[in-house]
Amino acid sequence: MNTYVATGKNEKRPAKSKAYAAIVWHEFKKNKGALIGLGLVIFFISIGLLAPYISPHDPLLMNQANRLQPPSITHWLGTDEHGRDLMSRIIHGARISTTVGVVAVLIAGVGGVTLGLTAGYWKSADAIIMTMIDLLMAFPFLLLAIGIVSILGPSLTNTMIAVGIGGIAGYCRVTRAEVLRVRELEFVEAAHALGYSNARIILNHILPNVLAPIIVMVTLTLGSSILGAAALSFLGLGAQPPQPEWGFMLNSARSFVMRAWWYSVFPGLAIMLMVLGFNMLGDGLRDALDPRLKNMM
Amino acid sequence: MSIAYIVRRFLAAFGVLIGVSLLVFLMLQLIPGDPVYQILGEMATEEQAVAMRARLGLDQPLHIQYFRFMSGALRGDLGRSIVTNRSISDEIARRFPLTVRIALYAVLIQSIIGCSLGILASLKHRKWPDNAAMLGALLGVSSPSFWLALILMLVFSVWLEWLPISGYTDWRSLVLPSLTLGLLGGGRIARMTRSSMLEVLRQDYVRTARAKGLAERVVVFKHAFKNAIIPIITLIGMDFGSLLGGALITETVFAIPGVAQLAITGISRRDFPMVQGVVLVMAVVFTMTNLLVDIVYSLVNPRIRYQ
Amino acid sequence: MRKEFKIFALVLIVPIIAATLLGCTPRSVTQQPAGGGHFIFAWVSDLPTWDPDRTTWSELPQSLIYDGLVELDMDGNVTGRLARRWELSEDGLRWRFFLREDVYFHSGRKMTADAVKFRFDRMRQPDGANRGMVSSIQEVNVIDTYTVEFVLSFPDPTLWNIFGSAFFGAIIDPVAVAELGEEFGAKPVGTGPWIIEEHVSGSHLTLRRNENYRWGATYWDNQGPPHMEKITFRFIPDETTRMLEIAQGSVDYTFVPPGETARLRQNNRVNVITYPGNGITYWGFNMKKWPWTDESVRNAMQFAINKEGITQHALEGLARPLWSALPPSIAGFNQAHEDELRARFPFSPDRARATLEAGGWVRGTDGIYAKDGQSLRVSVWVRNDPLQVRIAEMIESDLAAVGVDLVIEIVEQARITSDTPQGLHQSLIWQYGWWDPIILWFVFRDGGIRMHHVNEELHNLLLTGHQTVDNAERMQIYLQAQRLLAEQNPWVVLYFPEVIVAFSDRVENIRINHRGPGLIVNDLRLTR
Repeated sequence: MNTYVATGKNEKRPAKSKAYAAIVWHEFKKNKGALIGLGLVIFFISIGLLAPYISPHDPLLMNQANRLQPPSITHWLGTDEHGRDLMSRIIHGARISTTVGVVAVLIAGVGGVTLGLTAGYWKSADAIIMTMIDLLMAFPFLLLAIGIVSILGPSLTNTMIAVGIGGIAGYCRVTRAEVLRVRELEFVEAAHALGYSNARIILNHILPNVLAPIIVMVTLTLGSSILGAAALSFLGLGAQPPQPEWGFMLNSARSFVMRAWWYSVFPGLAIMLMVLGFNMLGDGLRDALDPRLKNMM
Repeated sequence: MSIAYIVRRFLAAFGVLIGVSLLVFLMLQLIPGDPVYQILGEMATEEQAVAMRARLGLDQPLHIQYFRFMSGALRGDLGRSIVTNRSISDEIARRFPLTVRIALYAVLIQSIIGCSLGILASLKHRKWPDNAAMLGALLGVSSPSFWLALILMLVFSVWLEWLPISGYTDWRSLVLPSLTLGLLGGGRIARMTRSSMLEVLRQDYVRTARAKGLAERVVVFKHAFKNAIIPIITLIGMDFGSLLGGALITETVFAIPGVAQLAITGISRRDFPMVQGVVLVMAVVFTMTNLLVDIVYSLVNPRIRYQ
Repeated sequence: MRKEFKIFALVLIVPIIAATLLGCTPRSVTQQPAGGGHFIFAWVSDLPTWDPDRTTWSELPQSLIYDGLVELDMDGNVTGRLARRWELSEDGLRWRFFLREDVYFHSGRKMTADAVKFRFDRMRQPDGANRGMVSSIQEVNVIDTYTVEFVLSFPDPTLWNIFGSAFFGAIIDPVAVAELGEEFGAKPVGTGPWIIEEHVSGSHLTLRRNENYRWGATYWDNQGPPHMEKITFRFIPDETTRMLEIAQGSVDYTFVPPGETARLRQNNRVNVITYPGNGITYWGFNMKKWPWTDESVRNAMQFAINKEGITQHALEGLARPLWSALPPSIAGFNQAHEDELRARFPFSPDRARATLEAGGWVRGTDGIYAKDGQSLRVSVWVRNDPLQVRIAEMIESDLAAVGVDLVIEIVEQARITSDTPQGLHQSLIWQYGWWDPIILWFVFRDGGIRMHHVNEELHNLLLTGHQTVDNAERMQIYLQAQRLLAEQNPWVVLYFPEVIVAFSDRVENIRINHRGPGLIVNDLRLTR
């Protein structure tokens, strides 16, 4: 597989894969923000994975006598309206949020990139696909997601699908723009001349070179997907109780906003920090993947 | 700026709108449940339901229903709400200014916050103001809107009692919703401004201006910022669309009777015509705004004028 | 270069100008504390329509602009409102009402017997939403200008509920209906103590006092025009904000969820009043679906749920567990029967499990009971309301302890109301509310649209109850029906709630009629 480093101008600079990765990592390390982001992401993913082992209480265990207790020694982050330990629920919620983010981005990414590759490579498909994408983008995202969930029924899975579908447009556009740029480069023409099949050209030559912005987009949309799913759960359309999903917890917290500040603050804080981590990571990746792009969006 | 270009863009926009209307119509048809039992209530019988469905025209074949909706829409009549029987166009017209006002105030707030932070960050590149500003921007981008809304409400309405809690009484009711959206959007704008400014500040003509001994402020504003603006304007324009959607959550939390709320209650009450009408109107506004931004952009950027 | 600057300035200035111009449209509710007679309700959601023949939901605002023929007082006795007196024939088939002769519609026209006939004919049209409630009326005859007679096909004591409902039994202006047609739902004309001044959909509703009003119900303190000049209902869907508003005194009245009661009681600016509600909340089984066809499952569920826990914790003690099909606030409730049921079905996870096992269910390795290869996993539809969800979660927890996996599905109300009649659900958490035991007829006739519990004996029993005039006899029938339901168990009755309302401290003379009319607005007074 030939990887060429994109430099923003119409040149190519072949790079060896291993050395390339090393360069990227080196750049990445220099960026403190990126490291913090990576740290946050690793933190949340780990607590999600290790949830059953590290959570101090059973997140589903109700203790009505203990409901709406402020943070204390036994319950570091307090309890909810059923007396369940908030910290344990937030820890288990990390697992849910991670899953949601990954699945939604997978749907958006696979769908969007495929469409983008097609649109960028074949001019005939371009018009049709881009009109559909414009359509998708003209539709207010939240309403579209609500509509999809209304059709499919409220559940976490359907939320992932809805958020994923909503994200397709972005991936498609970015991919297509990159494909349009790369398509004109000499090595692609060379591949044509050599008689390679379209599929081979796309997969072996074009795709590797458009990956960089897509990877950045993945980290950024991981964050926005988590936010979107939380918003849907906040409206009651996502995770169903008693699942400890962060957005749903904030929805429940609304009824107690003056009695139990911790219930409103901590789940929201968790969402924010996790999304922040992905955003910082995304920024760092983007800066590292092309130093010259460091100062551009 | 060729007329042909504008005409082409208009036609494309129109096509998109037709597509949106079709999409929302089909989507609503797929949603299970109909409004009839909702209206009739607990003591309904099946025959009453059938009668009401016929009266509302819900038993007509799909293409007839769609055609009826569209022919009305093109004339500006969006039909009547199934649940309240009031004219949808009137309803939307009454509520629309509120949603738009919030969106506009939000645009203002986020532009001011975003541009100031962005410019500051770019000027103090890699020093602590840069890091602080960008951290602030990131926090804005990463926060859930409903959480921010609740926290602002707690601080300003409950604790300080400076602003009304909910509902619409006068301009003060719009402060918190606009602030919520503005803070979130400000982050996006700040990041874009910073990167755009940094790109511009590296250019030769800026160095020349500095070398000429011009005051820093003149350099920044008269030369750098003006050139950095272009992508920022584009972003603001695109953002307007997401503001219309984001207003949904703030309207719910702050109980503002805006257009977004109409759509949400419409879906949950299965008031199909209402949702169709609202989505269509939102799509029109979004498309028109984008169109305007595109035209402005091409006016400003000679390179794409001759496409 | 200056071009770009101008454009940027435009981008900033245009929004400001546009926003200011848009903001210049008048139309806001002044939030002054409204001294001298402006009462403010914090209401939840807007009314769908003012037309009593186009909806079956009735709320306070809708009843304020209309009058009914009579009204039931606090003890359930019939008192006059638009009608001065009435006579029923011996066989209960002819009801004659003698109307007041001094009643005027808001349009200025006089109310006569023709208007009464008009309304009750309209109510019985095929598209009348409340047809079902007046199925006993065969014809309505005008005897003279102020006398009207109803001829029934069977003696129907439940008609008093309709005649006594200011909204469902409203006498509307026939001329207005003829002129407005379907628009009447937006521009109603009645005879009531209040007149619509301004209705801004989704925002607020303002009514002003009808100065010509003289015909209030005879048991009210005040039969004339209301003491207050104006009432505004502000539509505030968000519960938190409603609570903030009442706590701060910016509204005068609101319903309170149980969780907020304790805190509001400590607030001196607020008076909190509770009274028994007239409905119940239940967990209903879709009897057409598995596993509800299995009697052992239905019976086991009666032992499995900790109703006391639900009322204590989710409802903060402001509800009471219930076993009978009727709550104490509806006639037909029998305390002995309730006590018997309570003893028969106590909260006992052990007995729940034993009942399942006796029915052939075996506990699997995952802790869930199974039979014939199917695990006892059931779904419940619950509407998107914090309290309902909370209750569902508690039930889920109780059931997990007895080896039943409950899957909660939060479903929008509209979908519940339209899909449950088609039997698409497995079970649901729902309510009913009415002030007469005929509600059981509506819930279970032909099986009913929620539980599809088709049982001929029950159906016939409830039908007879509908048509029995002698009260003692009628109550016996309903007792039998309740006993039958306790054998069949198509549901688990959970609790009956108290209604909790909070008033600001400037409101006085608060009289609440629990039997439907609710708050007697005509008697309210504001001290400042």
